[in-house]
Amino acid sequence: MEYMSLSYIKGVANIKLYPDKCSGCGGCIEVCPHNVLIIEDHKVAFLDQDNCIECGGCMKNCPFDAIVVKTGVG
Amino acid sequence: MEDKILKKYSEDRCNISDKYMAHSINGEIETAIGNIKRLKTQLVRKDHLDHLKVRFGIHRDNYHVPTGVYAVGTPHKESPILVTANYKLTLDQLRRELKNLNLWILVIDTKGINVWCAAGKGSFSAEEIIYQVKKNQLDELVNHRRLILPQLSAPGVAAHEIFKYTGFKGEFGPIRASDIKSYIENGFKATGEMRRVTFTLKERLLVSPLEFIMSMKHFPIVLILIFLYNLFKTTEGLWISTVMTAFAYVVAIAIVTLVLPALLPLLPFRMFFVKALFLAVVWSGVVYHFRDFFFIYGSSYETLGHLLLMASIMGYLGTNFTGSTTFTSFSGVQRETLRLIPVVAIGVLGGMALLLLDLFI
Repeated sequence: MEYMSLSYIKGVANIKLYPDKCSGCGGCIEVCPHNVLIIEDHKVAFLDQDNCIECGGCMKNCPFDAIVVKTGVG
Repeated sequence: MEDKILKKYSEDRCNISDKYMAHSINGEIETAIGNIKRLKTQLVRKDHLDHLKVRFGIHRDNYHVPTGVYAVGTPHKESPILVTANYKLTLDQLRRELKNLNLWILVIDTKGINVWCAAGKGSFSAEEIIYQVKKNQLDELVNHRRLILPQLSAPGVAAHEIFKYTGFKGEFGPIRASDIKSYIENGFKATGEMRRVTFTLKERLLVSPLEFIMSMKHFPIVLILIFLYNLFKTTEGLWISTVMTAFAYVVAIAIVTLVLPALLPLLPFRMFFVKALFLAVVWSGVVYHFRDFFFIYGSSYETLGHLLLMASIMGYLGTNFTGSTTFTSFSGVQRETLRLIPVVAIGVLGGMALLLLDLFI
């Protein structure tokens, strides 16, 4: 529960979703360590965009290019 | 992709010494592809000593373990395969959680870097896994076609690529090694909690000693500057005043590298340098109150000068700590750095100006 109070700057995360390309497979949900994404009506959507740390795991594991993240270092 | 895999063959460093692993091996088991070393699941004193050294920055960039397949317990042709990085600390965290399990571990070459960082930098990659799967003849070793990948390797590994080139299906397991047992018992399903990264007090305190030690690497410069400054002022009590003033700076650095991580969720503001400045204000109050003790009582210019310099160092180190956290984004750090630079510039220039002013009046 403790880590829930850890949140960083809001409104900066550079992650874009293209739901029209999404197949709803949920691969992105599986790899996301911060619960950023959700599948709604078989398409990817944000649950909380501000939690995104731009690791890029979702982008890397989306076979349909439905997520684009501008990843930084580390 | 094919080029990248081919390149792996020419880059392979098969000759990584096993000097960090020898005490972690408990015999060998015979398999269809030859003898395979069995890992102990109990850490010994040497392991704990190594971990302590790593946490305090001694020798921490040189704990490569040899790549390849290892056994845990008495695995057979149906036993699961876990993939991990070739950093000793990583492999130790993993194997200690595997007591009473029978499985295979595939250690890939991540240049001695942990899973998450290696994935971010690209060495924990699909091509490296594909290369190691082929090189180690995993298709002969087991009957199934499933690889369990650490979830935090996802930024570097496109799991669907592995299947395309090896026939093995890469599945992301839990983030923490401690969840692997329940993950397997759960029928290879990770719960939501297993998939969420944390940054608990314990985890924060594990990274903070190194943070302090790394920050102290440049401290001799501060020490010399304080010495020179005091030299210009007076030769009387030069050593004691230098040591005591430097001590105030050491505590300032300790506060931002040890106290800030510990109190992280309790400190106000989102930006790390502002959290650090909040602590700097508190510390400034203490230093001001005990300015005689720290030998910075020459004039209010001198006192304020030192306090500004200390606050600037603290602000900078505050932002620096974002790099050791699990919940900061690159864009966020970029935004924070843009705010930090003018603040630190004003603090450093202002602080130095005040100290010089004190010398000439």
